[in-house]
Amino acid sequence: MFASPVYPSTWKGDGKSTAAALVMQKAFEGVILTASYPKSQIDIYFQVLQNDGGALVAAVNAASLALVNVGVAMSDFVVACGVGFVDDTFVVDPSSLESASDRPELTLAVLSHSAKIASCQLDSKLPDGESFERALEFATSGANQIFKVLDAQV
Amino acid sequence: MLSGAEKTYIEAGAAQGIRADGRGLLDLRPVTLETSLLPTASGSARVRIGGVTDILVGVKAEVVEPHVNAPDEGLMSFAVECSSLASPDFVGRGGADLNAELSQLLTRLYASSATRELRRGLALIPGRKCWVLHVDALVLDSGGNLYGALSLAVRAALRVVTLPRVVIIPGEADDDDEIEVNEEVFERLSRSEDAPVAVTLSAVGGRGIYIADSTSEEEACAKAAITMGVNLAGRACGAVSGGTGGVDMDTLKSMLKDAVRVGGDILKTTDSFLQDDIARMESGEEVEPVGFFS
Repeated sequence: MFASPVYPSTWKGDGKSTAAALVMQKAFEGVILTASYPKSQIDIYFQVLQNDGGALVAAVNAASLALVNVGVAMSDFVVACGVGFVDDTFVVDPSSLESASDRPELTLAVLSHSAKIASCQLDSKLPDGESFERALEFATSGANQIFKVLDAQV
Repeated sequence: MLSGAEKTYIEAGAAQGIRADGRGLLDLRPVTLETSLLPTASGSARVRIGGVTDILVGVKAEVVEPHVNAPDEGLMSFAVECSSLASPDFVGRGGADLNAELSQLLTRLYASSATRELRRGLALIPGRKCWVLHVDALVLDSGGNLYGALSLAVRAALRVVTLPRVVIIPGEADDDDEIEVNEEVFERLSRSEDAPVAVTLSAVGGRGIYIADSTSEEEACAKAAITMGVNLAGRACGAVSGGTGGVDMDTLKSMLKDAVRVGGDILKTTDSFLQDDIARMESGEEVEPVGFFS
């Protein structure tokens, strides 16, 4: 499809889509108050229109907004942020060029009010144990910034 | 899924020349058309009909070898995907059949002799190199007249496609010609105005009665439908029938005439808007996108 700068797009790979769907499920199952909707199923569908990195992060944020838009009862607001690692430096919200396959990348989804981690996914290895904590800090502060923007809309 | 009463309402109305939304039998719903939405594509367009049917098309080009049977023509490949946003039926492999059917319609529309000059315009070195246009269409929402919306979006995208200028560098022997792609200068497709549009006429409400631009409810009542490709020159560019019922020969002849007329109207109206878009493009003016692309 036309979603990515390179043809053919690689986002459609089944493994990646399934993994992304699982991340979504974990992140939202924890906050949606399913007891309020007995005998019902809530389906969340995603369509990637353009992808220049951070598609999964954008998807989580879009889903949060969509659920609020519909009025689904949730215990907290899920917000996501991605952190990449380029030339020994952490970069928040990496573009597709910055997300080369051999570089570490952290995708973090946090619950904005309780500050708990809803989902955390780290691809590839970071140089040492300490870096993981720093990456988490970056991602959390990024997520908080995003939350402010989303909250202003809601 | 319609109730018996709803079906009767639609069919009886059509028999009287009136439709549920007040349109005449061959009247069309309002169309929203936007071009050049996707920066990564060579050309793109979005068509919305009646605020329900929503199609997004992106075109990407690359240089390949032409087909052995048509060495002086370029290639076009069509891939339609029905998004799960349009219907839960399209999740996973659910939309595969409809995707194949829609892709096949587009392939047929552009394979006839009516579009030969368009395809020839894509050739670079006969027998050795040509452009292939990968046309990807995404059905974002479906409210009837998918064929019409799809073909219109594809046509609009093709009208604004720009390809880098290619220069042929003659080699010593005939087989040694090479191409040089100039990434600084872009040109629109020649003969993109030949791109056809598909008009679907659905038989609803009795013998000899048919409607254009049907809604999903009306499509559920139609026993038969004819979809015809029409271009600016008024030529037929392929036809396909649908539905389990049949259409008698006199009605079919009348449908084909009306399809050409309706298609001609669509082409003239949309072309006047596309000319504005093309003029803006060529003057380098920035256009603000409308809708969720803005």
